[in-house]
Order: sequence, then structure tokens, then C-alpha cells
Amino acid sequence: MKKILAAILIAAMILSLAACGGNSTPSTTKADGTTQAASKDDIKLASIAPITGNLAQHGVSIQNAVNLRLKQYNEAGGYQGRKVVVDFYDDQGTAAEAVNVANKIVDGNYIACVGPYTSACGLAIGSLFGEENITLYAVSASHEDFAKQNDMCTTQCAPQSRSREFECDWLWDEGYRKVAYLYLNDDTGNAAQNWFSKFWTAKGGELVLSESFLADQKDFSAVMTKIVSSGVEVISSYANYASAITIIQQARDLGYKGLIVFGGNAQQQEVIDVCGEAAEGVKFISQFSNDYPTEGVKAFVESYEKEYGRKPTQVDYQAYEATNHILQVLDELGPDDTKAIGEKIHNNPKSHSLYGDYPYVNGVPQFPLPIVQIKDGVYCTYK
Amino acid sequence: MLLQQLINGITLGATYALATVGFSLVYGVLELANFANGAFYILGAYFAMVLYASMGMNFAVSLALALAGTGILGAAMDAGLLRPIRSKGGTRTSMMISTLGVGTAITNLIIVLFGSETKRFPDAFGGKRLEFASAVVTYKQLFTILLCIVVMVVLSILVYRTKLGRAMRAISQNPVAARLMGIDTNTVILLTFFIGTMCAALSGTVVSMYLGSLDTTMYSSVNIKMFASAILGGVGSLPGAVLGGMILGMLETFVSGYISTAYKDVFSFAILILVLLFRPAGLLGQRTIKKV
Amino acid sequence: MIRKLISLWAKYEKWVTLVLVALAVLFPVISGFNRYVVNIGVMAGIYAILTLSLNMMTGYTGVVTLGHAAFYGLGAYAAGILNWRLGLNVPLTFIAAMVVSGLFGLLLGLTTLQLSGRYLTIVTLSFCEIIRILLINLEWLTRGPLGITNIKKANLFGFVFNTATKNYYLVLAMVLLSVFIVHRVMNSRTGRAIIALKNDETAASSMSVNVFAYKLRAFCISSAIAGLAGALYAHYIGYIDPNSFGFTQSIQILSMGILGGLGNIFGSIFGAVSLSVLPELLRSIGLEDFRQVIYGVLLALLVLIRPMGIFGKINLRHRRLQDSLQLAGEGEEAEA
Repeated sequence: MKKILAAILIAAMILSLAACGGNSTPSTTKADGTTQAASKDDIKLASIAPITGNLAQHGVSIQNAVNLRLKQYNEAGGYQGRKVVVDFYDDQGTAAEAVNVANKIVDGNYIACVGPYTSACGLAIGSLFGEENITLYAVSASHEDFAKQNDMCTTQCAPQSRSREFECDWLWDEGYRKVAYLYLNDDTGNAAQNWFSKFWTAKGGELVLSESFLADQKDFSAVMTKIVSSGVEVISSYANYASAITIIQQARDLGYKGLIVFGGNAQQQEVIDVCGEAAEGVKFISQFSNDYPTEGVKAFVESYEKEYGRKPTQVDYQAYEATNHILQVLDELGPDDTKAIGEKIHNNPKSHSLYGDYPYVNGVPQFPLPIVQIKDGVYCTYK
Repeated sequence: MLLQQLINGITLGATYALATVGFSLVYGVLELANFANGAFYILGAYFAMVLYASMGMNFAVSLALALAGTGILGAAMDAGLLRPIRSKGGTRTSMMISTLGVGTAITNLIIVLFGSETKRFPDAFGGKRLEFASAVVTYKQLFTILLCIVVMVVLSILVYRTKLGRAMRAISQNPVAARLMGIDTNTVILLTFFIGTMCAALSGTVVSMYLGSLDTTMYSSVNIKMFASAILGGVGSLPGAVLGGMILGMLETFVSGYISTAYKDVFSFAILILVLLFRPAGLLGQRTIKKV
Repeated sequence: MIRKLISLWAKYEKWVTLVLVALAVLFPVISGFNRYVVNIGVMAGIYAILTLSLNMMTGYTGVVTLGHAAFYGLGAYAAGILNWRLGLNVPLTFIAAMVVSGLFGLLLGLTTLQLSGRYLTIVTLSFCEIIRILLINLEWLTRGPLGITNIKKANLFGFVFNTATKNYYLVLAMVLLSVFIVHRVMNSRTGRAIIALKNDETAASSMSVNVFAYKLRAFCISSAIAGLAGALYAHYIGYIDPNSFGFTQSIQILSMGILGGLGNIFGSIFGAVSLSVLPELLRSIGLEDFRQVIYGVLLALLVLIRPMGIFGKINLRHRRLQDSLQLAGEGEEAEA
């Protein structure tokens, strides 16, 4: 019995090795699990997202948003009657996997690629896409170097230098002078802290203390105690939402009554759900606000909620906007010259975004940055 | 601030200690590193969350059910996967790999079923707290610390004053002799896993409540602290698990509070290295170092 | 039936090996130089080197190490730092990686070989974690959690390994080198003596063999080989960060070794290749979500059904001996 099982295992392995040498189809599963096969006429879009692993929920956001935009586009007639379909590739949020799927994508006849989610993955594969002249449109890469890699790399996220300068100007104008900065110790977090400290001290503000933390840190009580007892007026933090939740709770548990403001992608529904009362008044320097007063945003929020039963998050918006931009350029230039598409996306003097008409300069969007706050248990635009 | 940091440190230490006792119990009896411990830690927390937060059951009931459920799974792991290896004369390594497999499978199954989003774990004490002089202690912090002490005491009584405990100690010294003396080793081992797993589930639940939230990254962060606490205090020693956890928790808190958060891990592991070099058995471990 | 196959294999071992090597060399051609497929080959090769080194370390000390990724990481960082800071490349980075990892192997060996097996396993785990923490915190050297980006591709005296296929052949060459080293060390007379006697210290020392020295040597060599794998990885992927070389990676390598069977060179390579291919297979049938779950289940079942790994119990030399003895005389069927 044992031997038969072992033999079956061996045979399976050998067969699988042989099968792998042939064609492997990418996973074309949509968020609801159905697969779609591309027909001959269809135009193909690729997307890299962390579908499994610790960032899986952002992978789902990306899938939702891209699928929604494509659905709308195809229903409106597509590109001269041709549909645009998407193939999703899972990078699990790690650089090695990103390289693995990138190799597959560049040989696959795609007009562009939406993703990846993290800057690290984007940095690992940017040069490959540059060499192959295919657009790599990162959803939320805020690392300064990402879009600088080559003309094919564009991001839908303002770089740290811009976001932090904006934040400092705003905090100063509101009258705050003493800040504690708490940041995630990764590439973007470090960049955030560097820029913040540079701009804040240049204005004459006081950066009372700066503390870093690792992504898997769960207990901030020690740091919080230090911060609270130092009497700052503002805790500014660059964190992902899981850490944000703990930061908010522990700060309030210790009796901190001042302002808490977040940069980075902390703006998720879970923050409200988990923190409840404690989250009232917390603000976010954001790329997206649910009730920003433009027609584009309103339509997007409505259609997203109708399709998926929840309000869109910042990541949803970024993936949607990225797809939107690609489709616009597709309409202008056609699907045949991926290099031209990439260059136009990288430097587009007038793109029709959800916020209105704004340019992309050197792969970076020059959009307004709304400040979002939690009021009465919902996210709304503060400014 | 000192008082507050002290409270923070003791609480953190208690969370580490709780996570480690289940692991140390199994290691002490079987010399087996149970890598599924971390998975049961999260499983217990998710179990309790579903019952308490989503279904609205009473907290004590949710906790009890979560503990029982996870405990049964731990025992099932032993009965179904580990016992057959033992009866075929398999090595400890094989059993360890088996627990590794189970741990990986369970953790990732949770990710698939629940998603990787952070979920809410409501405070069973409704945010109540004690405020005095310069510090604040929330009820849930007190609960965590108290539970740690209770578990320590209960387990010690179990191991040192009950028949089951005697049997466990006999097996830890010499499993073959124990069996020859008429001890039903398989049942005792089953119960050891049951209890150890329950401890893991308990600590997962309690920590989730203390942090107010839970998500799947808890697995990696707890695993490392658990091993470190166990090694520090002495693998296989129950008081060692608690001592190790406490030292680690206090050290991290004070380094974060008075020096910088960035260095907390460095200090902790520096201590760990020192202990390994000069007292490899851990602070309270038995000194059975073999010289070559 | 299986017995006959294995006997055949034992008899024609050299030919079978030749065929397999030929297949490996022709692999990129067979796959039509498909970048994606060859990439899997490259990673499988890197893991094969790692598994071989783990094999050697475990074979000598009898203890399963849970921290092997530390040496992988040390090698990767040695190469990465030298390339980033000083612009150095192959073969210097390879040598440096091996030296650095080897030194740490020496360190680990000196401290842990004195301990009884009881603590060794968990100690190797904390070693891995300590290295990871060092990598994160020595920011002036390693850029901490930012990782090192833009490591240049391997460049041997002007020849740049800038495609998947070129890297595949580089890795293949290193795999063959590793096999050669491991085979020589483990099959030398002292090597076989150590392995046979690893569980019986008294017997070994009574044979006036300096057990400790040989074990230490094995530790260093195997960690150096793991470092080589790290250097290959650094140049190929171009980006390294401390979190890629932690507990999860150690377990990955260990699983490959267990699957193939520790103590068997062919088994190690087999395990590495299988577990590199498996995730891609799962991806193609849409089960990526369950990849890690299947992984874990596979592992648990494996140690239950066949704890020695698929090729663990197979010792071709013994089989040849057995078969020739059977032909020479009467005798019942020996159990496989």
C-alpha cells in the first residue's frame, strides 16, 4: 500500500514536470470565481495583484476595480467593438513571485499591466517591463524611485515628497506645532519620515520624536506611553491599516485626546469597524475620498457599491483610475504600439480622471489630495 | 510614565507567557516542538471571535467553546497523525514536520476562509478601566495578567500534584519505562496535546481581546516570540515559559519606552544569544548539556 | 515491480545519471526557451543547491535544522552588499558569499555541536531569527528593511547573464558543483564513518576519529554552499530584503529535503524541483489560494506515509550489493 502510494506520487511528479514544459494558462478568475477565456478579437490587459497572502484583501480590491471598469467599458462598446479582457496574476506580495509572474506577462501579448500593489514588487520588475516596452502601471507605489525607472513605469499614487509636503503645510496652517511621527519601517515608511521631518523642521515646527515600527508589531503601548507623556498635539503616522487600528486604540486607551493623522494606505472600513468610537475625528492624507464633490467620483462610488455591496477604498479607486487611464490612451492610440501607449501614460498632459482633467508628469499623477476624516462613523471629506 | 510602562511590560509579558506555556508543556512531556501551536493560537482566537463577535454569544461561553473545539482538534492531530508515526517507530523529527504541516495548513485555511482583513474583537469589559496617579489600567489588561497567573497555577498543580501529571513526568523522563510501568502513554499524550492546545487557544483569544483586533499576521509574530520565550526560560519548563515571556515582554517595553522602538528586537535577541552561550538550557531549564 | 525498477537503476546508475544531466542541460531547449518555464528552472536549481547543503548538514549532525535560510540570506547579502557598495561581481561575490556563510556556519557549529539534540532544533531556529534581526537592524550595512535593490546581474569577465536561460546554465553549473562537493564529502571514508556513527559518539571516538572536527567541517561546507545559492539569488532577482530569508524559507527548504529524502543526493534535487513546480501547477488549475494549505497537508501526510522521503530508503550501492549476493547464492527475497 505504501509503495503504491509512493509510486503514484512519483508518477504524478514526473507527469507534472513534463506538463509544465508545455503551455500554462494564467489564472483568469474574476473576483467571483468565474473564469473567462479570451477570444481572438479581444484586447488583453494583465494585472499583478497580491491575490493570496497577507495582502490578499488589497488583491481583491484591485480585481474588483479593474473588473468593474472593464465591464463598464465593454458595455459601452469597448474598443471599436472589441472587448478588453484581463488576466490576473498573483504575486503574493513578494518580489520573487513578482519576478516570476512578470516573466510570464511580458511574453503574453498584453497592452499594459495594472499593478503591482507594493513598491518593492514594482521596483523588482520595473526594468523588465521597461526593456519589453510594456506599461507597468502600479496601483499604490509611492516610492520615489518607482516611476523614475523608465518610461513604462507609472504609478497612481502621489510620491512621498508631495504628500508629506502637503501634510506639513496643512498641519502648520491649522496651527499645530508639536508633532510625534510614528512610521512603518519599510521603504515607503522611511521615505515618508525623511520627507516629513525635512519639510516640518523647515517650516519651524517641532518634531518631538520619531519612532519606527515593523509591520508585524502588535503592541504599541510602550511607544504610545512615551508619546502621550511628551505632550504632543499631533500624532502623524505612516502605517498600514492594521497598525493604524492598534495605534488609534492604544492612544485613546492611554487618554490621548489630540489629533491623529495617517498617511499611507490606512483608510479602510475596518478602521471604523474595529475602533468604533475611538476613531472619531481621525484624519487621513489620502488619494481618495468617497464624497469628493465631482461627478466622476460620485458615479464611481455608486457603481462600485451597486456591484460589490460596499463602498470603495483607496486601493479600489487607484486600480480603477489606473484602468481608466489605460483605456483612455487605448482609445486615443489603439492597441498595437505598446511602447507609445506606455509613453503617453507616463506623460499625459490631459487625462480625464474622476477628479477632473489633470496631467500625469513623469509617471506621477498631479491630482488633488483630499484630506479625509472619520465623522459620525463614516469617512467623509474634510478638505 | 514609569508606572505605566511597568503595567505595559507586565501585560505584554503575560501575553507572551500565555502563548508559550502550551508549547512548553508539550515539549516538556514529549521533547517535541509543536509547530502547530501557533496555528491553534490563531484558530482559537478566530473561533472565539466568530462565536462572540459575529454570533453574539456570551463571552465566557464563546471562550469555553473555542477552547474545547480547538483542544479537540489538537488531540485529533495527535491521534490521527502523530500516534501512527510513534507506533511505527518514527522519529521526533517526523512528528515535528507533521505538526509543521498541520500548522501551515490550518493557518492558510483561515486566510482562505476569513480573508486577510483585520477583524474586530470587542472588549468584553466594555472599555472599563482604572485610573490612578499617572497610569491607566484597562480591565482587559488586568484580565490578561490574571489569566496568566491562573493558567500557571493550574498547570503547575496539574503537573506536580495529580496522577495525570505524574504520568506526564514519567513519560518525559523515559517513555518506554513509563509504558512498562503500566501507564497508558497514548492517552496521556493525547491529553497533553488537548491541554497544550487549549492553552494556545486561550492565549490567542485573550491577546486578541487585549489588542481589540485579530488578523492572520498574528501567526508569524507570535511564533518567534514563543520560541524565544521558551528558549530564554528553558524549553520544557513551565515556570520557565512564564519567566521567559515576562522577561521578553518587559525588556521590549522598556527598551521601546526609554530608548527606541527600533532596538527592542536587538536587545531581546542579544539576551537570547547570551543565554544560549552561557546557559543553553535556558534560565530555568535542566542542565543536561552533553559534552562531546 | 518497483523493486525491479530500482534494481535496474542501481545497475545502470551511471547511465541514468548521464541521461538526467543531459535532460537538465537540454531543458531550456525543450521548453522552447519560454522565459516563464526557464525561470522556474532557475529557482528550482537554486533550491536544489540549498536542499543539497541542508542534506549534508543533517546527514552529519543527525539534527534537522530549522534555520538554514539564515545561510542563504547571509550569502545573498554578502553578494548584494559587495555589488551595491563596491560594484563587485562574479566570481568575487560568489566567493565572498561562501566565505561569509561558511564563517557563520563555523560559529553556529562551535556553539551548538556541544549541545544535545534536545535543544539543537530550536536553537537553529533562533539562529535564523537572530540573523534576520541583524539584517533588519544593521541599517548602515544592509539598508535594513528597505532591502537592497538594483543588484546587477552576474557578470563573469564581461559576459553578462541577463536572460533567464543564461542564468539557468549558471545555476545548473553550480548545482553540479554542489553535487560534486557533497558527494565527495559524504562518500569519503571518513564521511561515511561519521554518518554511520553519528548516533553513537562512544563508538566513533573509540575509533580515533575526530568526530567533532569533521562535523564542524561539514557544517562549514554546507553553510558555504547555501551561501552560494544566496549569491545566485541576489544577482538573479536583483532585490533582497531580510524577510525573504526567515523561518518560512527555512521550512520550505526543509520540506524539499524531507520530500526527496534526506541522505540521498538525487532525492534532494528531486524534492527541490517538485516543490518548485508544484505551486505553478496549482496556479494553472486555479487553486493558488489553497497552495499553502495543500503544502501543509502534503507535508503531514508525507511523514506519515513515507517519512524517509520518496528516495530516502534507496541506497543504490547497497542495492547493487544485495542483488549481486542474491545472484551468487540461494536466499529469500530481501525486503525492499
